[in-house]
Amino acid sequence: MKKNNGKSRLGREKYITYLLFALPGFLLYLCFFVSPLFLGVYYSLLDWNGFSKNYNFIGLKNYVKAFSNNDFRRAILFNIRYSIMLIILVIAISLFLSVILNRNFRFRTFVRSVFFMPAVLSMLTVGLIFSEIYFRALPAFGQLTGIPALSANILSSKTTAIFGVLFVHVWQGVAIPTVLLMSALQTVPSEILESSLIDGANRWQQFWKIMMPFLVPTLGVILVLLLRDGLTLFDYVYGLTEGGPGGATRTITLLIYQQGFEEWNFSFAIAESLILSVLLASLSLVQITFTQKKQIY
Amino acid sequence: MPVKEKAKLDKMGLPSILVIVIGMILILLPLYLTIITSLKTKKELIRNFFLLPESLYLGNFKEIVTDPDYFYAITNSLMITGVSLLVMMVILPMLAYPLGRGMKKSRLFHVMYLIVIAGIFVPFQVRMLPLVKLMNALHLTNRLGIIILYIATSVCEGTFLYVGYLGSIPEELEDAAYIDGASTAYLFRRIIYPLLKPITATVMIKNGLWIWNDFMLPLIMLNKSSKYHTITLFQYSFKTAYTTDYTLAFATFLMAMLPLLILYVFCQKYIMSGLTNGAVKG
Repeated sequence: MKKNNGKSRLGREKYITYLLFALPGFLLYLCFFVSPLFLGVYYSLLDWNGFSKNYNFIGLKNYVKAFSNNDFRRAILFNIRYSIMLIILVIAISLFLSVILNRNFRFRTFVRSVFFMPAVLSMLTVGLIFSEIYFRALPAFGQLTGIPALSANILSSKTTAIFGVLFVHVWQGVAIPTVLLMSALQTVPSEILESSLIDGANRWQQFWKIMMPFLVPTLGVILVLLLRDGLTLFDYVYGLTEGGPGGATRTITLLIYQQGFEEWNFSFAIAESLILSVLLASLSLVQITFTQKKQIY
Repeated sequence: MPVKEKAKLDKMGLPSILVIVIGMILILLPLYLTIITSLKTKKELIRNFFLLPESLYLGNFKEIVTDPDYFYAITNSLMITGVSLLVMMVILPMLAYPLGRGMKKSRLFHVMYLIVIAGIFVPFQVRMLPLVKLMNALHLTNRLGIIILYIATSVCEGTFLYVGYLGSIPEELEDAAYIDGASTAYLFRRIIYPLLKPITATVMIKNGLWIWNDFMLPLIMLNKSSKYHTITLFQYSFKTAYTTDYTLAFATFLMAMLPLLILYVFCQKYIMSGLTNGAVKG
């Protein structure tokens, strides 16, 4: 390609067409994705309640306040506790399922499609269905079978509510990791597996010594995806508990939503959301590194 | 033939079979309860919670279908999802093509690419509150506004996926067309765009399911009047309005899930690969 008006190594016709092609998408992105970000950083430096005409510039005070705010700290702790349990449960279950579903058995396609089905449903619908099940079906089942532990709503106790939410998340959240792990398992060369059988390895050894190294990159991706899901949890708690009982399941995102739109702590809530986003951005960075590694090997 | 097929099948131990059966029961049970409860009357539900309904009662569905709010919700969801996807189908490849092909040769396109990709690191939460102020100021807290936001949000991941896929299409193809005297626009429309079909399918499935199932953006943008509600907002406001009407509530859940389940039955292969391809989401 010839050099053209020193601007680029693209031809003039190509350069102009490229520019015209890229413009609509890029402008939309700048106006409605990038600009709210900068607007948010500006708002976070004010003491604005979201609607009043009077507000002052207070610098970083909102950030300092956020770290000593009890609700925010409590929500962060909830999200961390929740994410750890979510990661352990989903990874353990999906590893287990992927190894089983990866084998060749009758009705395999049908079984796989049943296991993947929850992934297409809306998190809110699933949350609402389970909220009715917890409220009506489980107590009815407890009465029917005489198990007293089931006769109370799991969501109405401060100590058990988190498990009620967690169960729903695992129910729906296992589907995609399982499929990702199943395709990672396909990359394990069958010759190695066969020769290991001849050498007398049992299934357990096969899994840890031979399959595991092939799964590690995918597990890294899944871990970060789950951590992000856990830290941004909103739909399920909105449909199941609305943060209750007594704020026991109030997540960071729910707190930001409530403080920003219901308690009119607008600037403060934005500062909190920016703290959360720094955390999430660093996680995404880790994930990208993982994904690229996966592409190289 | 049966002998041959059997030889290919793995022997499944009892524990594996048990895991599969219990797993399927756990997954299908909520669905089963949703279906049978929606087909019962309130009176029957008190007597019979877990068994199949004594007779098919369609009154719950009748009530929903004749509810004007359901009509608004389903048309809004269809309209918002449909228009967003149609625009994305045009705008995303048009943005990704110059960025993917031009970034090695032109600084401008390289910088644009980096700005777009950086958006993957920005979670929705941080844009949520300022967005409401911005859209209010522009008088865009309506269906048009939410469509714009969905398209703008899809740019990061969409570009990422399209540019990745473009890397697998050899550039020699374009060089040959240029020698034949084709213009860039013609070349894009006639050669590149058709070749992008597989990744277009992935991007559409991902975004389609996300928009149809999304709750948070409609909640902050469209919660003023039930005329603007989407299907998720409809379910939520229905639940808060009729807290005691369980049979009706389950019927709304079923009516909301039905389009997705039907779609899943017919295109599950595409949906499965669409949702797991390039597991990066902003």
